[in-house]
Order: sequence, then C-alpha cells, then structure tokens
Amino acid sequence: MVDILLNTIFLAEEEAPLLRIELIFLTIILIATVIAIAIRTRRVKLPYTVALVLAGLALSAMADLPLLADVRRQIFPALTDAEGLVSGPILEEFLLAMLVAPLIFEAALHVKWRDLRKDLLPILLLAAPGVLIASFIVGWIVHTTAGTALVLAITFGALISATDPVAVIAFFRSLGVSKRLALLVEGESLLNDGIAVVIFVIALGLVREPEAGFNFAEAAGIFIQEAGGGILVGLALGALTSLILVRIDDYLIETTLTMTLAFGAYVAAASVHASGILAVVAAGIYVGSYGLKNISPTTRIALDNFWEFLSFIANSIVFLLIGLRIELFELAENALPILYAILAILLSRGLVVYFMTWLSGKLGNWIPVSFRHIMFWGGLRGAVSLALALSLEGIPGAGPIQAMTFGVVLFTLVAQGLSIEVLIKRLGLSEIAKKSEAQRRIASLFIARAEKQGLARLHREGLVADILYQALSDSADRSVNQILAEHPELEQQLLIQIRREMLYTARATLAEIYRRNMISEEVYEQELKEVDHRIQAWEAIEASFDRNEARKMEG
Amino acid sequence: MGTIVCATRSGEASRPLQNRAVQLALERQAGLVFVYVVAPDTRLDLDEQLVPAISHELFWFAEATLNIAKIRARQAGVHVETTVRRGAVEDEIENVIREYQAELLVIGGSQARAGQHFSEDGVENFARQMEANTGVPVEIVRLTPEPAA
Repeated sequence: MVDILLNTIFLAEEEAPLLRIELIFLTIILIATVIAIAIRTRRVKLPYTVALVLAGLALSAMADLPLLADVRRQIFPALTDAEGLVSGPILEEFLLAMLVAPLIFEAALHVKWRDLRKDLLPILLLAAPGVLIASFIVGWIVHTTAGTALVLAITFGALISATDPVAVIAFFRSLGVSKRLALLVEGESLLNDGIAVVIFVIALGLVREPEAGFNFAEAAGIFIQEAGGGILVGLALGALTSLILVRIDDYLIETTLTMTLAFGAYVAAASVHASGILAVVAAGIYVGSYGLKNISPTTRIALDNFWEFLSFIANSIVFLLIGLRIELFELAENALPILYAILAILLSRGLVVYFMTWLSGKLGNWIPVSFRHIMFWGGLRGAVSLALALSLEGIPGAGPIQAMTFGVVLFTLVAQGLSIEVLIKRLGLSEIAKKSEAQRRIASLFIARAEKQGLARLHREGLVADILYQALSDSADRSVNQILAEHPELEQQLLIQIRREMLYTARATLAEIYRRNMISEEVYEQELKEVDHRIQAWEAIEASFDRNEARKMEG
Repeated sequence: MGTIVCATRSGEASRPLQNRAVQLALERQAGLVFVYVVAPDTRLDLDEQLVPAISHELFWFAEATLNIAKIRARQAGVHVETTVRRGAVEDEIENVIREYQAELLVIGGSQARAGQHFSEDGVENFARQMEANTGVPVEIVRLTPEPAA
C-alpha cells in the first residue's frame, strides 16, 4: 500500500508536474468547501459530517454535467484522464495513510488505558467475534438475496462489518454522550479493524485463487501478522516516543514527535505487512496514557490545538471525498443489491450488539439497555470500508460490491447519522441537552439579578416611586430565590462559576501588580503558575462531577 | 444537648439530606454537625503537577458548600457546626462521630450512589459498618424512589 502511495507521488513529480498543481488546486478547493460548509452548518441544523458528504455528492453530480465536465476537461486534462484523485488505489492510500491515520491517532490519544481496561470485555467481544459473526451473516444474506458468489459476499461482509472509527468518532463527539458510552462505541471502532482486515484478506485470497482453499493455519498466521504485528509495532514506537516525551519540555518538539509517530506507526506497520490502523491505535493509546501524562500546561494547549486543527482538516476532507467518490447513477443501477446489503448490515449489527452486550453482562460487565440501542444504531461505516472496497479494483464482480459499499456507507452516514441524535435525546443520553438546560436556568438567574439591578438604578435616579420599587424589588427577589429553590443543582454550578471568576480575577490582579513593579518577575511567574494550576484543576473536578452524574444516569 | 452528624456533599441530592438533618435536629433539640470528606478520587486520571491545586480547590469547594448549609440550618434555628476532613470517608466520619460524641449519623442514599464509597449496594453495608464500629445509629435519607422489588 505504502509503495503505491510513494510511487504515485514520485510519478506525479517526475512525469506529470501538472498533477501536482492540480493536487494543490483541488486541496484548496476542498478546504474552501469545507470552510463554507462549516460556516453554513452553524446556522442550519445539520451534522457537519453529513453536510460534507452531501456536498461531496452534489459536487460529484455536478462534475458529470456536460458543461462542467467539459470545463473540467479543459482545466484538468490529466485529472479527467486518470481520474486518479477520487478513485482507485490513490484514493485508497490517500484516505488510509494521510487522512485516516492521523484521525485515528488523535482519537486514540484521548482514550486512556485505565478507562479502556474497565470496558475491554464488551469492546473485545464486539471487535473480534462480533465482527467475525457479522461478516458471515452479511455474506450469507447478500449471497442468498443478491446472488453474489459466497466467498465474494463474505469479502463484502468483512469490509462492511467493522464500524468506522473516523465516522463514529466524528459523530459521537458532536453528540455529547456520556464518556462511557462514547468509549464503548469508539473503542470498538478503533479495535475492530484488525479482525475485519484479516477476514477480508483471507476471503479475498480465496476469491483470487479459489483452488487454494481455506487453510486455518494460514488464516491464524495472517491474523497474528496483521493484528499482533500492528499492535506490537504501535506499542514499540509508542513506548519509544513516550521515553523521549517524558524527558523533554518543549512544546514544538513534543508536538512534532506526536505527528511523526502518527504517520510513522502506520508506515512502519504497513511496511512489514501488519495492520497500520492497529499500529496507530496502539501508539496513540500508549502515548496518550503514559507519554503525555505529566506534560506542562503550555504543551497540553499546543498539542490540543495542533491535533484539533489537523483532525478538523483531515476529517472534513475524508467525508467530502466519500461524497465525491459516490456516484448516484451507480447507486441507482444497483439499488436492489444495496437495499439487501443495508438490511443485512442492520440485521447482523443488531444480532451482534444485543447478543454480545448480553454476554458481557453475564460475564460481569453490564451495559445499560439504552446504551445497547445507541451501539446498534450508531455503528456507522465510512472511510475504511470505502478504502477496502476500492482495493477490489480488477476483481470480477467488484463493481456491485463497491456499489453496495458506497450505498451502505451513504445510508449509515446520512440516515443513521441524521437520526441518531434524535434517538440519543429520546433515550435521555445527551449530556449537551442536560448542560444546555442547566445553562438556561443559570441564564434565568442572571437575568433576574440584572433586572433587579436595573430597577435599583432607576429607583436611585428617582424614576421609580418607592412603593413601586418595593413591590417590584420583592418580586425580583422572589424570582431569584424561586429559581434556586426549584433547581438546587444550580448551587453547585454557581459555586464553580464563582470560583472560576475569583481565580480569573486573581490572575488579572497578579498581572496588574506585576505591571506596577510591585512584585518581581520571579514571584509573578511562580504565583501565576499556581493560579493557572488551580484554574486547570477545575477541569478535572468538573469532569469528576460529570462522571458522577453519568453514573447516576447509567444506574 | 445531643449532636447529630450529617455527612454531606454538594449537588442536587444533598439539599433534601441537609433538610432532613435540620428537621431531626429541631425534633430532638440537638446540635448539628455537617461533615464533608474530601477523599482522593482514584478514578481521576490526574496530572501529578495538578494534585496540590485540585486538593486545594476541593477543600475550598467543601468549605463553601458547608457554609451554605450552615446558613440554612441557622435560619431554621439550629445550632450548627461544620467540618471539612481529608482522607478515607469511613475513617473520617468515624472520627467526627467520636469527636462530637454524636447520637445519630445521617447519610444520603442517592448522593452515596454517585460517589466512590457509597455505591447503591454499599450504602446499607456502610451504615451497618458505622453502627458496628461506633455504636451510633445511622439514618439513610432515601433521595430517590426505592427501586421496584
């Protein structure tokens, strides 16, 4: 895979310089589109990722209009001939190595081993036997209904059964669910690629050489090489990077190291024919849990900003490219097989999720029923399925399989993606909704307080008669006390907000007395560091309060 | 005059607990001691540099919470004291019971459920353990409806 990517880049440099300019031009267009969509989706109630896919679909459809196609041919002759940017192996490599790898790394950085360990049982049940079972169920249904050859249908089952980390994480971050639910869904999506790729590689081998037959020892060997090799490479590089990270305190070097690790782990694993995705996951979790544990606040801010920016760009381009790659006429031609495929993935996902979570409960790790519904409906597919489907180019019968993949990916991203937020709210699992409600009450409190101050000012200026002031003032007091009496939980939030205000005031005061030369630079920096630590401490304390609330809800 | 100890924390669930403790103090004409134990939360993935700051801020938060409870109890006409302790919840509450020679300990069920030491299953055990260790009866204020049998 890496070879193809490198060859493509060298080819672009040596033989087709125009392609490089087109690549840059296309990237700029993509980024401009992304910014436009990001601004637009702030006003329209549409998930950003869904908006990107739809925009990609629209661009793809427009590119085929005779006039636009002609313009595109005039401007991008090489692109039109090769179609290399949005199809075939270049897209597969571009998606996996350049976009998916950093996105997965960024997600893995936020997964702490101590949290993952607690829910490792259900995650592994879903990620390993779950994907295996789902692959066969999907393969059997597609074989029976759409008439696809059984081995090819199982190949499709393998590439479509693993939930997509990029899609899942992009959606679940914006939905604001509890940390445990997010961890269950994200953890599964990060770890299930190993088994999916193994089934895919074995099934694809049988498609290419049917006479070779299935060999269990060979399958086990591939699994060890892909999954074991990937995890080993990731852990080794993660441990090495962590060793360096704990010894330095320079945010530029530390940020660069994490970036190198994200791409390096993928390339290193791929070069030994191990799973690059699992390598990136292992490296990310290791560094996030151990290498970045005691970094300075400056490095923390720099790292967060860098990875937030990089994942925003990569995420946006992934979903836009998915939309660009899917051609509507191709979907229309294969409407019936796509419908069968959608039913197959829904049925298999349902069976696997409800059975495995039940089994997990029996083995001592219970998962609330409401979580199980979200895990079923939130199993989105995306870039990884698309990339695997694109790697089928040249295989007889690949066309309908690719169309089914595009159809399923589109269905999960748009239909499931649009409805999952409603389901989360209906099940009372939205943390954002709860926080918004609490914030609305706090706003009411501040408004009531401001109204009273306004009334007092008018009274002082002689614009309100005493008797009127007394009556209205009592009423305003009552409303403040009423809000607090009706919602005692506001007291805790108000205390936290008041404390934050106090600390920010302390910070400003420190700066002021330093500016007036009342304290030395040394004292100023020392005191500032302490106040900053206290401000940061509230993030951990609030997270702890949120966790307690979430636990009550899960119970 | 006897003393009632009420182990409390912050949040929505604590208000009914504190109100019940005030009511009991009035009924028994007893003094009331609110205790808040700042226990290290082992579930927090703490940055070591932040540990002193977190400890300091949690102490501030506990004091502020108890001061609010104290004002309410005084307004209701109860003689009230507050104390913030650091350490293991069980040990610290036992210490307070002994120091104040308390006649009753009041704890909350729901608040307990949210916390590390008082899981729903564990609150009864905790109460029994306190009674056995100190000889003081424990009243659990059920803050959420009893689960269906």
